[in-house]
Amino acid sequence: MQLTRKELKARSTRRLIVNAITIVISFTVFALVLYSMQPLILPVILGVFFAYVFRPLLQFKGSVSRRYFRAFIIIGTLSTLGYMSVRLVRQSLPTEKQKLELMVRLQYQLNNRYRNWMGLTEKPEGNAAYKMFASELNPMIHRVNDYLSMSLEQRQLFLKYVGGYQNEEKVSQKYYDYFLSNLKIIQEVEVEREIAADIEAKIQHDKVVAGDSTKKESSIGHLLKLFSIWIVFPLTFMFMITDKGQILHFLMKLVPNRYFELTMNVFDHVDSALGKYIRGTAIECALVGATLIVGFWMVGLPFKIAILIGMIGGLTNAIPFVGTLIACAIGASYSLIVEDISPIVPFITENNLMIAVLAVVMVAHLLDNAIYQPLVVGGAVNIHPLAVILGVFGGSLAFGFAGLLLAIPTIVVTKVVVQQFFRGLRAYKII
Amino acid sequence: MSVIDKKDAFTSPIKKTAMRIFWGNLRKEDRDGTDNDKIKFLKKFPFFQSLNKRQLTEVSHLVYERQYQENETLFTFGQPGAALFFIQSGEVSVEITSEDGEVHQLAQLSKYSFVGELALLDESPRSATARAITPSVVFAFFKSDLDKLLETDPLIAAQVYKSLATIVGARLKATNELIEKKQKAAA
Repeated sequence: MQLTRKELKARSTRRLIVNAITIVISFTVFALVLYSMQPLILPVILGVFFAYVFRPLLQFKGSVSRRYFRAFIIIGTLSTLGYMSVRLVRQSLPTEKQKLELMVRLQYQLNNRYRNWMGLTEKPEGNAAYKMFASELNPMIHRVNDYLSMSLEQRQLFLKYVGGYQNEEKVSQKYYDYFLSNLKIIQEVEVEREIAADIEAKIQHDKVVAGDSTKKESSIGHLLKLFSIWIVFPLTFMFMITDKGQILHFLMKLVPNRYFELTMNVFDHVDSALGKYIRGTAIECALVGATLIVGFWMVGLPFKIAILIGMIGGLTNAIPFVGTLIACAIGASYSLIVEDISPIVPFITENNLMIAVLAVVMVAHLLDNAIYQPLVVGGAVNIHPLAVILGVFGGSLAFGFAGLLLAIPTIVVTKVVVQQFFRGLRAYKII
Repeated sequence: MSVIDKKDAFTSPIKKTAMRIFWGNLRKEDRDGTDNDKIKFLKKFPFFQSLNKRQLTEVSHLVYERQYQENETLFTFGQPGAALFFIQSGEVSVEITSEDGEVHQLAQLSKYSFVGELALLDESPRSATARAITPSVVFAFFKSDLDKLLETDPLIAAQVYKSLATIVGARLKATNELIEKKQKAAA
């Protein structure tokens, strides 16, 4: 039966209206659901991300049970590694006593090193550098001391630990000496300022104590909630990695016939470019992390600390520029307080350790730029350095840490998708 | 009831039917329905004739079902080719438009025919337009998926390439014979 022109037109109008209403309703529902499931977004994204990274390891070869077995092995390895790194981090986190010791140590070593560098230990008038820069450097050091010095409560607590408190081992004589020498320096700093700081610290402390008590009450509930959210991560991972194209098939059903071949074409190009970029970057980060660990260990940092700082440096290496700066900052600040080092490389002492640590970071950075990046990431995606810098800083300005972390991946995804999409549109003579 | 009785009861057809009613063919239904039809359909084509059931299942996950209305084009002359289309139902016309705007039909294809096989070899532009004359259901098989198969399951890919070579070879032979005939007629 042939439809008349009028009927056809009416039908197309109806189709337009129904489609528009469907789109609006589904978009609203989707946005509402997404908004109410906010805490689930991160585990789901992580699950999808890991599945994407590890997909080539088990791409539909072998039976279904074999694929599940391989997925189990991957998830087992991942969670073991995750658990081990969390344990390492938690072990390295100081207790209250260690925190106080660390503060004492940091302040003492900083002043000690300053005096060493400025030649104040040999003669009271200092060396040439001190004579030149004393007027600028002294106020700076005073301010740092001001910042690092303990509050009244903290001092009292430290003295309690010196006498033995809460079944903890007594604070060693060395730290007590540091403490006393720190006190002498503090006395040089204005008294009123300290009083003001004390009052502020007291208020802060009260707040922390109040916060602590409420936290303890709900810790089990908190843990359960956390579990119920994060259980989504392995589930998403499992289903994504064992997916045999059902998700893609479903999405493709939504694409009109006219754009079907184009969409698949664009999808394949985007998939291959992004896959290369993401897997390349992951391998690159792992390599940089390993280099940092070996380097830190060679210049004499304790192995555990080397692993910890290397891991952080490797992970943050995914953020251009900032990653290297973070590794530098953490390494340098640790090298300030470190006391007994056992370097494999000769000529390294506590005093020049900071230079050695910075050198390690520099070497890792150079290796990354000269060897790892060209080798594993290659020319997968080319972004202008200026765009990278603007992206990183703009992202951190707009969205904080998440923006910092996700700026470059977002730029890469956008660039690849837009590029391939327009190339496809032109090739298929749609525009 | 003795042990033997129990065993008998378990394997008896009545018990099996009862189980099926209880479980409602949770797993089987899906396989026996669309999947098996797809596998049976794919086996009709020279590309997949020598594949076993597992390999055919693998391929069936890669093909995309599309429904075309009357006069909708599967692909257009000059576009980059990316997929081979298997026709499951309906009629598809393969045609080229001459410079003066006249449309010449090269072939009319129906069930169990395929079109656009050269797209599996490279991304060169389509040499003709394929248009559905009646509402049609087709399955699309993409070059990129064949490329991936080459790495993950080379046996399937080898079979596909082998039959592709046979098809192209046979066509070359036919074209040569045609040229020969025309030359003889001209002489």
